[in-house]
Amino acid sequence: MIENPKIGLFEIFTRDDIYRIHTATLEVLERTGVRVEEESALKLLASIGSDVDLSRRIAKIPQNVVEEAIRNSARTIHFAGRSREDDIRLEGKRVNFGPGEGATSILDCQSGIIRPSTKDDTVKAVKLADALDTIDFVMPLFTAQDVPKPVMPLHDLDAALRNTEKPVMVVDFGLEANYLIDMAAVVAGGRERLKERPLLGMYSEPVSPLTHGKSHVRNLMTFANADLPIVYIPSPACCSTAPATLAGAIVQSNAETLSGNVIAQFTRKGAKFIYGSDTSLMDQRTGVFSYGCPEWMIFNLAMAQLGRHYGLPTWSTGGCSDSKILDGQATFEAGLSLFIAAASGANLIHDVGSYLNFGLTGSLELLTICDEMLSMIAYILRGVEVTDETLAVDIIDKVGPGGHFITQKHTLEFLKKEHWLPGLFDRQMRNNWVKSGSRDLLKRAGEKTEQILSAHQPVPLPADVNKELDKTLRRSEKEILGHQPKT
Amino acid sequence: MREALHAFDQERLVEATERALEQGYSPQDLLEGLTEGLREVGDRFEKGELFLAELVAAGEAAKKVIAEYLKPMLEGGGEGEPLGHIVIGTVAGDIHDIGKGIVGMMLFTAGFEVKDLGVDVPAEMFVQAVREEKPDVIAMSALLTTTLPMQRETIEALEKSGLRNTVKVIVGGSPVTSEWADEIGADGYAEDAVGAVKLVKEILGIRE
Ligand code: B1M
Repeated sequence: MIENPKIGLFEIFTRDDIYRIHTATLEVLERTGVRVEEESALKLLASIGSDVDLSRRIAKIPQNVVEEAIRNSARTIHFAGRSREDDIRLEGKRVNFGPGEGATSILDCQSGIIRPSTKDDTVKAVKLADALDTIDFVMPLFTAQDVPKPVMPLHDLDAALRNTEKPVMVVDFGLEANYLIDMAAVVAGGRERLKERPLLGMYSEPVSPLTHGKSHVRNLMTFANADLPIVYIPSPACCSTAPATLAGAIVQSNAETLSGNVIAQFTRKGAKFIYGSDTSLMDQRTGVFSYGCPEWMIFNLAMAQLGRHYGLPTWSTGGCSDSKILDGQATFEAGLSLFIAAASGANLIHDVGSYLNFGLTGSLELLTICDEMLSMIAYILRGVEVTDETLAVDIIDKVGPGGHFITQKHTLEFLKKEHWLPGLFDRQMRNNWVKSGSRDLLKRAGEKTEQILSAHQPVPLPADVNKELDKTLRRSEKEILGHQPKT
Repeated sequence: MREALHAFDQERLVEATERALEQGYSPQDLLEGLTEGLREVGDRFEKGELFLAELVAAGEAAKKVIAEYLKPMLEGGGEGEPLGHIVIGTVAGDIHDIGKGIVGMMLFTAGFEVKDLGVDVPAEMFVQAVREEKPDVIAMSALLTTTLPMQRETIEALEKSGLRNTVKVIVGGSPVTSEWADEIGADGYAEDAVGAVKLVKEILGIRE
C-alpha cells in the first residue's frame, strides 16, 4: 500500500475541466441514455424517474438521480483478507496493488516459450502474489485453459482462495455470481460472516458505448445485494468504441461507470461500488487494444481524479505492456504505468505484472520485477522527511568543508531508514557482476521467482474448509455443465 | 469514384456513383471498379499505409453503394460474382465485436460477400444462416475462454442438421489456437484479419 499524504497527487484537470466533464456526462446520460439489457434493471431505472423505452431498452437517467447515487455510495470500502493483517481499506489517497485475471497464455522467460496457461500456473501466480510485499490484493493473473471451459472462472477463484490470505478479486465472466459468492462464503464461514469480512470482490464491465449487458448487470445487482465490493468499469477504445478525442472518451467512460453506480445504489443504498475505467486506444495499424500507450496512462490519471472528486473509491490499471516478451519495452511500459497509477492516487491498481501482449500473455517474472519497481515507486512517493535531525545542520557543521560523512554516527543511524535498497536491480561492480554469471534482469527475476515459489508456503485453509470448498466447486460444476467433469 | 473511396468519404462516393451512372457507365463496370479499388485499400492497409478507421470507412462507403445502387440494378443479370459468400459472427455469450468486424471488413475489401450476424450469435442462428444463405464459409469469432465451447457446439449443430459438409468453418479470436481448431473439427484458424483472408482463399482454392 502506498499512501503519500505529503506529496501532491499527479492531477491533470483543473476545477473547470472537471466541471465541464461532469456536466457533459450528465447531458449524455439524460439526453442519449444507456441501453440496459436486463429488464429488472430497466424497471428499477424507470421507478426512480428515468425515462425508459422498454422496447429499445434505453434508459435516460436524469441528473438528480445520477448525483443522488453518487451521494449514496460507500465512501470507504473495507476489503478483507482471510487474516485481519491482510485487510485493506479503499479510501482517500491509499493506493493498493494486485495482479489481474485474463491472460490465456504464459511466457516462460527462461525458454522463451509461450504456451496456454494452466490451473497450476494460476496457483503459482497466486502464491507469488501472496509472498510479494508490495501486493495488497490478489487476482488470479491467468485464466486456466486446462479445466472445463464454461466453469473456468470457478477454478480461477478456487486457486486464489486456497493460496492467499490477501483479499481476492475475480472477473465476472457472466456466470451467475452466486456461484462465486458461495465459494467465498465457505472460506468466510457463511454468507453472514462474508458480509462482515468481505474477502471477495468482483470485477465487471459494461459494453461500450453505453450498454449494460444482461448477465453483467444481474451480477452487479447480486453483488450489491450481497454487500460485497464491486468494480464496474468500462473498457472502451478510442476510435472504435469511444470518440477519438480524449475528453470525449473520458465523458463516455464516466457516463458508463456512473450509470452502473446508479443501478448499484438503487439496488442497495450504500453499495460498495468501485469507480473507474480501463479506457485505451484501438491501435490504428493493428487494431489491438493497447495496454501500454500514453493515452491509456492519461485516461488512468483522468479517471482517478474524477473518482476522487466524486468521493468514490477508485480502480485503475498498471504494470502491463504491449510487448510480446519481457524486454526493455515491457519493463518501461509496466514501470511507467505503475508510477502513473501510484501517483494518480487510485485505490486499487490491478493487472500489476500480469499483462504482456496487451493482456493476452502473463509472466511470473514480470510480477516479480513489478514488485521491485513498486517498492522503488513507493520510496519516491514517500518524499523527504524534514525535521531538525534530518536537516543535519549540526553534522554538516561537524564535518565541515572537505571532510566526509562515512563514519558519522548520523550516517549509520539513518542509512537504513532513509534509503531504498534494491532487491533485484543490479548495482554490482562490473567484475563481480561478471564473476556472478553476468546475469541480466530477466535471469535474476527468474531465479528470484523460483526461490520465492519454493520457499513460500501460503497459510492453508483449515482441512474442513478445504473439503467444503471442494464440494461446493464440484456441485457448481455439475449444475453448470450438467455433468461431473473428469478430474 | 476511386478518389472518393480513397478519401474514405461516403457522401462523395455516393455522388460519384450517381454521376457515373448518369454518364452511362454500366453498374457492372462500376462494381468491378469499386471491387478493384477496395482491393487497393486493403493492400494499402496491409502495408501499413492506411489506418484502420480509414479502411473501415472506405469499406462502409463501398458497402452502401453496392447494396443501395449497384446490387439492385444488377439483380438477375449481373456478372462479376464475389469471390465467395461468408457468414461471420461472434459466438453465443460473447459480445466482443471489434476484431470480428475487422475480419469481416478485410474479407469484404478482398472481394467476398460478407453477412455479419453480429455478436452473441447462438448455434441455431448460424445453422439457419447456412440453410438460408448457403454461404461458402462460416467464420466464428470468440474472445473468451468461457465461450470457446460455443464454436464446438456450433460445429456440432451443423453436423446434426446435416449441413456440415455444405460449408467450410473457420474460427478465430485471441484464445483460439490451431490445436483448438483441429480439436473441434474446424477447417482452419487465422490469427488476424489478414490471415483470415489468406485462409479463406486457401480453403476455397482461390488463387491470389
Ligand atoms: C473466424 O475467423 C476469425 C479469424 C480471426 C479473428 C476472428 C475470427 N476474430 C478475431 N480474430 C483475430 O483478428 C482480429 C483482428 O486482427 C483480432 O481480433 P481481436 O478482438 O483479438 O482484436 C481486436 C482488433 C482488438 N481487441 C479487442 O477489441 C478486444 C480487447 C480487449 C481489451 C477487450 C475488450 C475491448 C472488451 N471486453 Co473483454 N476484452 C478483452 C480484450 C483483451 C485483448 N487484448 O484482446 C478480453 C478478451 N476480455 C476479457 C474479459 C474477461 C471480458 N471482456 C468483456 C467485455 C469487454 C468489453 C465490452 C469491455 C470490450 C469489448 C467491446 C466491444 N464492443 O467489442 C467481458 C465479457 C463480455 C462478454 N459477455 O462477452 C469480460 C468477461 C470482462 C467483464 N468482467 O465484464 C478477457 C478474456 C479472458 C479470457 N481468458 O477469456 C480479455 C482477454 C481481457 C483480459 N486480458 O482479461 C484477432 O483475434
